[in-house]
Amino acid sequence: MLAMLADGQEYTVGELAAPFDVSLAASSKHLVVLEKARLVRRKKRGRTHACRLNAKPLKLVMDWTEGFSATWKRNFAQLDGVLTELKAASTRAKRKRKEANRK
Amino acid sequence: MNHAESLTVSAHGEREIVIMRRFDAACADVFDAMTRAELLRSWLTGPPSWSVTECESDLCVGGRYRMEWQGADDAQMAMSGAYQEVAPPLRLVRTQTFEFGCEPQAGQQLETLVLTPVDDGAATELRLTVQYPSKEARDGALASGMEQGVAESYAGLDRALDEAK
Repeated sequence: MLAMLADGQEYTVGELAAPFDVSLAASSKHLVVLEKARLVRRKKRGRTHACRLNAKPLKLVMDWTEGFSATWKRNFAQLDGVLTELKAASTRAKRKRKEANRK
Repeated sequence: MNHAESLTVSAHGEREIVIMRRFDAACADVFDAMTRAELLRSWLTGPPSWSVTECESDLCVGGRYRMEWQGADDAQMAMSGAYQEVAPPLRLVRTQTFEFGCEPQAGQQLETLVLTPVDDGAATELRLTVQYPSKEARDGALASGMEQGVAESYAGLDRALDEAK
């Protein structure tokens, strides 16, 4: 349903339910959940309800679910860099101590 | 050496996700990098194009930590919690709560970090266990990244969303 709404157009509950093999009541229930999550906005248009995607929170969620694994993978790759620097710094410190002892 | 491929993320039991990764560094350095604010800041930057705006860590039992990120359109995200067990350089337990604009990860998680020295201490095996408040919360967090191709389909959705704004 979110994929359908992603074109930015308004859809009725019936239109959103059509591609799926579920009852109108079940689709309506699903929409209520999306509405509660503030992902869908619903407006009354005469006898039907027009549904529209609320993009902002979804964009935020998508950034952070871009991949649980993908995010860790990329952030851990950055951690590799930090660890290399820490190692280099402690090697430098050791060398300095050695030189100081020699003096 | 590049160990990026060795990351494993898997579901354990009813409510846990276990993240495992090997690092070419001693446990003490990995522990520091995961707990010291000035180091966390430089690698735990979140999704692409997001950046760390605040990072503090009071590393002691009962001490609190907090990180804040900012993305495009002034979107914000924060993660905070308290340390329950602090046993450097091998073990750390802390609570964790995420604050999004719309709370996709409601509830508090419990994070257990266990570091094991390998290769005579030259390398570290990291095991991060995240316990969620419910099976639903765990499955939700895991599903978001485990589906192949989701990123590609989202890229199209992303463009559409930008236009819809």
